[in-house]
Amino acid sequence: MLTLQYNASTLVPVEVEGLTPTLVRNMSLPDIERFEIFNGNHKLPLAEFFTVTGDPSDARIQFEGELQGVHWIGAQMTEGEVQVRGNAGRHVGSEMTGGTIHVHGNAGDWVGGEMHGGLIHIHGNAGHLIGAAYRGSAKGMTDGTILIDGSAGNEVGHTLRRGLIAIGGSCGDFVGFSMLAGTVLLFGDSGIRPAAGMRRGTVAFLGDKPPALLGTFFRSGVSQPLFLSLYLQQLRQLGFEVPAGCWPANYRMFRGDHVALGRGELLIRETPAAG
Amino acid sequence: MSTTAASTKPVDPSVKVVTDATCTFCGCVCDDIDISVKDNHIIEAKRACVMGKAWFLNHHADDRPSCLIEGKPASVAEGVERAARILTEARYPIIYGLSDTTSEAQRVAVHIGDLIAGTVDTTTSVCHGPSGMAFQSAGEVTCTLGEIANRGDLIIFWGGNPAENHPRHFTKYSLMPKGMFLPNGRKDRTAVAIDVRNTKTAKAMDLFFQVKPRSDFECLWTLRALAKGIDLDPAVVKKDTGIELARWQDLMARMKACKFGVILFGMGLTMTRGKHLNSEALLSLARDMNAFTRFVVKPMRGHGNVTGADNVVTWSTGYPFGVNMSRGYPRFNPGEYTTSDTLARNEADAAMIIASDPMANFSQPARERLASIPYIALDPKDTPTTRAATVAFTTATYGINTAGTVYRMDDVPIFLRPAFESPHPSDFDVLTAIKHRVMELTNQQ
Repeated sequence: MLTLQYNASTLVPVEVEGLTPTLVRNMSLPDIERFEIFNGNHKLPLAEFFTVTGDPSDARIQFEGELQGVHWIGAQMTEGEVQVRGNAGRHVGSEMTGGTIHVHGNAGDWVGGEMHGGLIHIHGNAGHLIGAAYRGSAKGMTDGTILIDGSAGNEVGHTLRRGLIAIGGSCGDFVGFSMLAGTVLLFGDSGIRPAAGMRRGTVAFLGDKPPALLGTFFRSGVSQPLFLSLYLQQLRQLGFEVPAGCWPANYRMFRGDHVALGRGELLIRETPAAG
Repeated sequence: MSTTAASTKPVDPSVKVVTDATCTFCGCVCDDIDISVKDNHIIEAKRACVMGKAWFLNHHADDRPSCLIEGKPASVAEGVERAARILTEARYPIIYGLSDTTSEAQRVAVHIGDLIAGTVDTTTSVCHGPSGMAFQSAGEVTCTLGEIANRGDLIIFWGGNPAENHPRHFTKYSLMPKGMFLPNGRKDRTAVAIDVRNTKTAKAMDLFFQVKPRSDFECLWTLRALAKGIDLDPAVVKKDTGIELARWQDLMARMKACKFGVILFGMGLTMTRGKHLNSEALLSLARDMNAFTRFVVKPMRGHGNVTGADNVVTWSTGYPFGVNMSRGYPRFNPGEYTTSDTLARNEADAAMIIASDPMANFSQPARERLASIPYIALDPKDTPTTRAATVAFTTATYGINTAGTVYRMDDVPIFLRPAFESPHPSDFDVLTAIKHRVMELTNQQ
């Protein structure tokens, strides 16, 4: 495993886009140290910011340190593994197509922005726009899995096209805004206007507090959807904590958003009556 | 309106009259003002509104030096040298403001941003920036104010108060004028206000919807649903919007029946919870309505040339505001590259503020960061931002002292006819000098 110990103190953003397991696996450590990254508008060798040790040949990279000012970690990676021991900055795993990223801390905005495949697991909290489309793009995440153990911000899964996003804690407003397809599972509370403008896909609310829905979603029965149990099993296999009570449970379904295509579904866990 | 160059009609030998001068106080950019100048003071501004009169009649050239470096008087050349060095030595320089200067100056500022691989942002990011983001998602069904004056028979004001913020909008464009297809003026129009407050604008309307605070999105979603013929639960609508479903249905019937519908929206929509998604919902509603009739939507812009800033930054970089060029090509991401954010996160390490006062209206973390980094300020007036600047240029006032181009809120370019000379250089002159020095320091052509 290649270890990159962050030792810089700059407040200017450090951008490591392109530093992927595939790139470094056939490079020598001196070549990796000379790999140029951006610090604001300056292009500088990696060694000015990181202490480089280890062996990159197994396509595994471990970032260590306080990396909240380091952005685009794992962006566009296609294979291998990235571990972040500490907080990470924005755009973790942006546009990645394969491999896995684990952040053992918090991450900034745009985790898995327009991601196309692979797995991102944030073991802390994350910012806004998880798996979302970049401004002006027609589609957000098109495949893969994003797991956030903690809470997330607004617009989770904005224009999501395919794939799975699971949020262990609460999330902000407009989760699943304008979703085209795909699945968002939310285990905590939701902000306002969930799934506004969704066309297809599923947003499941598994927490204790049912969300307030827009008036353009309509009730469509109660069930125990089989696919949801499969998803929850898969989440457990991936190391994501699924609270007891989520399965078996009854889920009330709502169809919408009828302002858009109206073929999306919202599943809201029915909590047992007290007493 | 005269379409020729500036014309002067001396009334008495000591008074100069400039006809068809342009007021740059607000986004209406009224270009039919006759101003009288005596001893380098404007003594009359015919046809100007109350805000325009205040703009013209209270104008005076500051007797500060044209340049201060760290609070001490310096020559403009020294200021240019120091400014160029600050910008070229920075790793994350930002350029901000631009909404109260000419488009010629804006163009030079964007060029400097490109030369220094910096970030260019305008005051749009703290006013109608959400609309700029929504334009990319939903598009904008648009028109000029002239079309509104001649055709608009249903006018909806959403989250704005033009009666007090754009006083001549009603009389020149949206409410009173007799147009080609509206021979009876106001009588041929139905006017509607949708707002959380019963404003002076609301009092001039035929219909007023006093909606629940922070429910704009729900209101817009209700209208979009009605446009599509979706049955809504009256109790839910009343709870979500504060307005009975029957009133929304009545409004939708009027919207479908009108010949040329217009929605003019303000920051009451763009800066409440939901921001750009509120704007997107409104733009989508206007788009939906075109299945039934002609319908357009326009933001009510505030600063005199904020629309010009959007235009110039867009045709220079492809994006309207919050544009980062640190990699040598433009990147757009509001929230990441917008000035209030780059400052509040302590990322920016130098700044150039042009015709704006972030020290007076940004968040405390952003102001603290700005105060801690070297920055340049260009402004005709003494402001909190110029006072804390490393290099402060006192510049001439656009429209009063300098010629140039500004864009009206409907993206129509208007030319300025200055009244008298300023002792200070223009923004364009200072920025051009800085640009040339930056080019020398960075060995760029």
